[in-house]
Amino acid sequence: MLKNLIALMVVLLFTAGCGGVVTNVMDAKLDGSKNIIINDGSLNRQLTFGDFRRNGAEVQVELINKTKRDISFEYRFIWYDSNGIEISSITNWNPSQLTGMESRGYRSTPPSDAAAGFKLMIRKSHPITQY
Amino acid sequence: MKRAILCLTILFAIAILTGCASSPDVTYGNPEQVETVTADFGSTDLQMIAESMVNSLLATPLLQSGKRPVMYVSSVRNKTDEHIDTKSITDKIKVTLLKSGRVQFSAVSEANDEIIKQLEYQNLTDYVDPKTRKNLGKQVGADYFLYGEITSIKKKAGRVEDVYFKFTLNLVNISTGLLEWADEKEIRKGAKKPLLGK
Repeated sequence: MLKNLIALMVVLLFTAGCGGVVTNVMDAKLDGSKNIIINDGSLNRQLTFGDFRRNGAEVQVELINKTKRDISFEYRFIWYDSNGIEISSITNWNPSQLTGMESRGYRSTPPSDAAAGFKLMIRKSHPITQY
Repeated sequence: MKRAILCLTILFAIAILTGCASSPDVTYGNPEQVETVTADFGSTDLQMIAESMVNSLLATPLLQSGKRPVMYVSSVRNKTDEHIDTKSITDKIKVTLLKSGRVQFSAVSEANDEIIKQLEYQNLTDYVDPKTRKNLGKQVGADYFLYGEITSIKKKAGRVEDVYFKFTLNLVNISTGLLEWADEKEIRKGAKKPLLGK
């Protein structure tokens, strides 16, 4: 029993620093076509992509909280041109929250006339709290 | 049993010694990552404000018209009780707008002394080839300017702290004096001190 406990503690010690965060992505073009890539199944069960709409200069993607709990997550828009080259100047992750069963539109504007599409990335909250 | 205690003791000793290392543990972080070290104004707040303002400005008909208006940044007042470098916020907005290709910025408000010094050097001395001299009276007048402010409301009760920031930015037409665009970004941050420690 004690041997098992020690083995478990050693495993936990070594694996504590190995956790990473993966993103779910909506890859959309301005012509309306889109592709969804799910890398985090557990996040996808809580938070999903909804409709993608375009209103003149802006695009809006709906994010839907499928649970009854409030959830915190991070998102960002990365724009790219017709050659797939990223053209966004601001690429930071934004923290956000949705209350239970809430859906809301998240908007972005193409950073230049060269924009051909964007990726909306979402992931579980992963802030820097200390070094 | 003795072996188990020995193993645990060695692991504990390693953990303690690692904390006593003589050189600081420095790592590079990702500037895009969300930072929640404290509830004070931080890098993520700066980035969120800049992104929100730029998205809003780029969506206005004025910047969709293809005309490339000339503007400059006036002042952004810090009405919070923290030290916030408001210029770093407006610099980020300015750089992103410039990269869009839809706006021109006049550097006169920030670098006029340097510009005048160089113009005087080129025109009032004989050091510069006349063919390459920049003539006086050629500066482009700005069409618009941006100004704004950041305010905060702080509340503390026991171990809980709540901070609300509001950043407002306005675009003024210099010819008409009209406010052509305005937008604001609100941010709320909360912090809870642990029962033990700082």
